[in-house]
Amino acid sequence: MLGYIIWGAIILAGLIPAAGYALNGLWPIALGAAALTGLWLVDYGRRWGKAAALAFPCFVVAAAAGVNLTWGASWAPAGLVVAIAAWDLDRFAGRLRVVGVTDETADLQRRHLMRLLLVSVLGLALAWIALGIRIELSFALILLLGFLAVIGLSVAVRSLARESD
Amino acid sequence: MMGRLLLLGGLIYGLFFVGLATLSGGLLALALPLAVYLAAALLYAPEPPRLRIVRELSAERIMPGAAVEVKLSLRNEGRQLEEVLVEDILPQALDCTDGEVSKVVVLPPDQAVELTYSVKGPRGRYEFKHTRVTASDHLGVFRRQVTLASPGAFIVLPEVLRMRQVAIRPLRTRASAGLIPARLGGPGIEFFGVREYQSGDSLRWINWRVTARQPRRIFTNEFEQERIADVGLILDARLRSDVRWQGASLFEHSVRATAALAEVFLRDANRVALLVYGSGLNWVFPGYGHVQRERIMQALARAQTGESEVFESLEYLPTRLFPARSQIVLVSPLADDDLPMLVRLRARGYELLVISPDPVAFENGALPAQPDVALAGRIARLERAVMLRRLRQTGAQIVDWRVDQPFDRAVLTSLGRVPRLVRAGRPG
Repeated sequence: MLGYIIWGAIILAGLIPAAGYALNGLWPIALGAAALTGLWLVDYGRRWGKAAALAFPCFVVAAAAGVNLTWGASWAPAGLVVAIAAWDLDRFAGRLRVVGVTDETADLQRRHLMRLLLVSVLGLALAWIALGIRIELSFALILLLGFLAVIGLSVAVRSLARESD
Repeated sequence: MMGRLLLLGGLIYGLFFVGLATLSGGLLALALPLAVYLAAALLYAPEPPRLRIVRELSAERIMPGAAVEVKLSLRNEGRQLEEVLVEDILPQALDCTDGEVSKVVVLPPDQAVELTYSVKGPRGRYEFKHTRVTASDHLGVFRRQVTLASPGAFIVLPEVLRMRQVAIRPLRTRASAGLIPARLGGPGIEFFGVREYQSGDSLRWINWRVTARQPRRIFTNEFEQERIADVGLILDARLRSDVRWQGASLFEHSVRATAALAEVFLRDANRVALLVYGSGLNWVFPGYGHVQRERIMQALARAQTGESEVFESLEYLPTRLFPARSQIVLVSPLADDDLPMLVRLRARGYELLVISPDPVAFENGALPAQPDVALAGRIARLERAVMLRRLRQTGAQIVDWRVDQPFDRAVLTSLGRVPRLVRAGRPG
């Protein structure tokens, strides 16, 4: 069951940006996304566990670059969320592969999928809502926000990384 | 795992930064799903796991081929752990034959998770030390890893080959009755000699044939006493003596032979000691009976080949550990430079039995059938034959054992009858 979901997530993660770029006539990028999807699928099938780390940021960049294209506001957040899900499930499947199937596996899978679904739906809804909102900001406020974002994120990531390991 | 956090952080950071720099609300909006994912992971980020761990083993000592069941129980004494990967770290050379050595579970407070599995391994002592526990959020972004001490140990004893009595004749025996000819007249089974009848001797043993030739004197048969003896086993564990080929080791055959000899000597009520001579000296003091058997088997289970400059040759064999004129049994493939020390042992009055697993045959059997290999094998065999002949000339008993043949048959063939040289003219 989980396997099919992962296959589906990987295919969708590539298919959505590929279709989005194809709609805009940007065939080289669409083909690149399709090729990357193929690579990820082969990697997952062979259980190498390497391609996700390459494909996921590429799909995020693809979504970011395509958000301002025609229909971009629709497919870019969806592609991004599916890419997050595929990336997450790829890691989860790898962890389950290490330990093999146990009595607790089914329960663990169910819990994980539920939580991931919740996070994905919430993320997608917020992204779509945010794309529909227009706020006018002054240059000084943008600078301040940028500065705060840079500092805040740096501190947060550094402290979380330190705590985590 | 750390990489996932950095990757997520980097992507959010990048989208924010570029979004602000280009005044693109779309990019800022795209950072939101990633931020939600990170926030969900942060919400369920684990605390350092507080676990109580208990390991139970079904046996502390097993015979080869048997399995030990390991039960590992971890109880959560802290907050709920969303996703815990429990990995028991197995000692090297152990194989898990049944069950699971790792598990991913959700572990609520005051709940326990159990790992149950069976392991098998070759001869040796196996020590479990640690269990690795990795707690992470459900999304696998944050993690806490701890290594918990979970001690436990068991021993796989060496295989003990069953064999009958080993014919040895040490120069000195102990006072108690046993099965080893003591070179002394007295009660026994084997004919020892004839002496003049003394008051109290049984009339059944009067030698009428000799008495008939001697007027007014009566002669009686005398039998050889059988007693127990001191036997010192020496296992050659020098790395240079070992031959390894495709996972097989000549040393393992030496260990099995030593175990079989210890078994048979102790069964015959002798006092047996063991010296494992390798990277150091592992000495089991002389003793009798089942307790001593256990000590020796445990020492043999732990025996490993090793290298040491001091013990590279048999030159520093501590002969004082063995009682004077006792029986020494050396289990060794033998090296060229071992001969002088063995000659000295004989000169000091020790009765020497050498059980020598044949390294040439062991290695030659696995080599390709080529003319130069055959020639080299022939030369090596000749050198070994010369060395064994020289050793035999000192009066040592030698069992030249091709390890593809049963050990008991090799011993029976070589020692079925005690060599004449050994029997001749020894003081009683």
